[in-house]
Amino acid sequence: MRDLQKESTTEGEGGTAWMRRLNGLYVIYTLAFLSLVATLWFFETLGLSREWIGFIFLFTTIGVYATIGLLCRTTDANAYYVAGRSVPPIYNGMAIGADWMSAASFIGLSGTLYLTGYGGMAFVLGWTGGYCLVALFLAPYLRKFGRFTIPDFLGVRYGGVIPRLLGVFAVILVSFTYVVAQIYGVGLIASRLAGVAFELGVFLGLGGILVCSFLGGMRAVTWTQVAQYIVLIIAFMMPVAWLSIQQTGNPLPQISYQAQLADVTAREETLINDPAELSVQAYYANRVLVLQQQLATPGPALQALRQSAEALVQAQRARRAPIDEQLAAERALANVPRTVDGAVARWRDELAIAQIKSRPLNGMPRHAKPFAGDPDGDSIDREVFDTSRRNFMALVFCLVFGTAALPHVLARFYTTTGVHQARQSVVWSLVFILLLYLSAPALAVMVKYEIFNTLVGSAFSELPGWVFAWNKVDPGLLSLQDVNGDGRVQLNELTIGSDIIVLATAEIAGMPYVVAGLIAAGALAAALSTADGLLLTIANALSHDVYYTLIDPRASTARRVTISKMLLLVVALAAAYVAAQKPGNILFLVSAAFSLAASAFFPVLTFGIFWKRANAAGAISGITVGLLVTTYYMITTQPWLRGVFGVEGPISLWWGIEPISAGVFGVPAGCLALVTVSLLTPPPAVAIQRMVESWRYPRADV
Amino acid sequence: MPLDESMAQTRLRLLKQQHWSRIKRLTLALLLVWITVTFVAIYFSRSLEFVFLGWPFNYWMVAQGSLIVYFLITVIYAWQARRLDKRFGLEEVDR
Repeated sequence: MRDLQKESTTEGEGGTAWMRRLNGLYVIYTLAFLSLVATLWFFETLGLSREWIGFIFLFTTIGVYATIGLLCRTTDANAYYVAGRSVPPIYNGMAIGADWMSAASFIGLSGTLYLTGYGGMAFVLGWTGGYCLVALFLAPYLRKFGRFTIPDFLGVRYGGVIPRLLGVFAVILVSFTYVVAQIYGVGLIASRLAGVAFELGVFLGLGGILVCSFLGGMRAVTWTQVAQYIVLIIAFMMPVAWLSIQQTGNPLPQISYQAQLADVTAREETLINDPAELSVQAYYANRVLVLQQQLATPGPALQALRQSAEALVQAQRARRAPIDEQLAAERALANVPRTVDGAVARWRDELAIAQIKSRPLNGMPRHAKPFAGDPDGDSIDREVFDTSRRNFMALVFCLVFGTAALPHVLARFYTTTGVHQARQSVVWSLVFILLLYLSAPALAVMVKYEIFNTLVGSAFSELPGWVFAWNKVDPGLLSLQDVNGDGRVQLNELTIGSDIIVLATAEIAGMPYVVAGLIAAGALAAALSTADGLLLTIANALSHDVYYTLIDPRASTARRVTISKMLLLVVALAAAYVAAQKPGNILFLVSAAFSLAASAFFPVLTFGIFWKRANAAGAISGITVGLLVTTYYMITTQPWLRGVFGVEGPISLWWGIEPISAGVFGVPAGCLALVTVSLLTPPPAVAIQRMVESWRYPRADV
Repeated sequence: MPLDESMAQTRLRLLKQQHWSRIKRLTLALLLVWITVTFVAIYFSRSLEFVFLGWPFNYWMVAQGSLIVYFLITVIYAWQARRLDKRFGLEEVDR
């Protein structure tokens, strides 16, 4: 690594000798990581405990990332902000892959696909399809522009302070919620992997993030992200390939899982008509009615509940029932909510669960079937079908345009040696992202196959060990209850949290614990790398675009870098503080970031590049209107935000679009505002128009 | 001499115009492909229920087919744009 650092400072031109040494270093690194896994496996067979395996994974990987960060430390502005513009396309691709794939992609995606089938594919399409827009509309032009940040682009292209400041505001709005979610994920994984407390995990992870980005800025982050990508992709592919060999005999599930899919589809048909399943659904349908009655008159209902619980305790005592029955009755009494408010909150939660469980297939849609409802059915079926399809398309729209507007990804295209390399970078990043995104749907189907065929229908007395192990970690991840008392597992008796799908793959496939540790290390790498990129983007926007450009334009480069480092620390601590509060609705905030990024940045960036006539007034109104429309729709329709902002009255959705896809209104509104206001105001200066024209040609002198 | 210079200028301007119009055409063509495999394919997803290499075609499209087309779009763009740069003498000079 020392050689790498020396080379990239003195030369940085990506010469062949340098490139060869870089390749050599990463090949050695990959082999070293694989042998670490093999060694731990060997020691596991000798009896090394789970805690130690988790600990060793946690500290070796963070240690390696920190070492790379230390070796790449720099005070040079070009190296700090844009990695010296010397990152070869293939490595930029890996860094983008790591930057891009967060803990949500790594852990959450397969689980979402398991639970929602075709519906979850909106995420797969959106998070990959966006790269086509990056390739066609943004990457090569941003590279030719060749400054430091995304607000920088707005400031230079549109001129004036306001577009730049609006850009900084939007960067912080979008990236901060995202980084909080990553640090939250780091805390969660660290606490599961090494058994440390959640808050300690947050600050451990924070340390790991800071050593990577604090000293070396973009350069350190780039080379750590490459290392993190290698860990995360090995950690994802290895168990997937293993499970695939078990089920199909082929290590490439992408090619062979259609048999599993066909089996799952057939099993769905039998499960829907299975009498045992129907009895479980009937039980929950009855629970729904009871809960609805209780919620209609919560005060008297609670009193009645308490009285009957008390009566039971008395009766058990009176007839001198066995001690465990008496205890159970007392526990039931203690479990009765104390206040009416508490009772209402709990009943609402129970009602939501019972409503799902009273539906066939545990509330999951059929895996391979697009959209709900029926286009040939009655008017309600048709309505359901249209709304479902419209929402799917709207979500894809927001994710696609959001992907093409996330500042931390776009900034990476400044780091290549040239325009051609920026185009190649997009190709490589899509390759590295597709490796995971083509595997996640396969993993979801294979796990479903396993659960449908081995878990469902098995006897409660013969449950595999991992069911209890994960239930002990968190009942929200996995729980089972023999509702109809037939001693067998029904699908509707099983409650599964989406995170379990990836986390438990190792055990489902009967792999050693070391693989579970590996998966956690991969998830950690995914969260850390994304957090690195995001923090750096926020800090750079503040230091470069606010401090250097607006407050002290004569600051030396060393001072700018120092300021950026201080801000990085402040932002990181603020994010860790917010994450340690365990904010609810974090998933909604992350998804909302895509809608916000799309409506804030996509219109100003693309029109700024492709339409010379776009001017400052247009840009200002484009960003403002886009953001306002998106936030307005979210605040008036999303239940949690309505509570925060005190919005009253009934929710009125526009064309039935869910709040998560608010960008579907924000993006067109932003474009419209940008075009109209630009046309009503004078065109930008000739020099600016000439600059816009120069971005079209890679050659430096035209 | 001034005449030569202005002729060179005109030549460069023409080259740039042609290059840009070809790049725009390339971008538009690939964008149409992208819209087709993304939004058109999704819109008609229910009607696309037939077996394709053992897969239900509509599921395969969103799980793999569209993603492969996305990859091809970026490859074709990088390759063709570079070719156009070179053809009109507007590629960056390697440092």
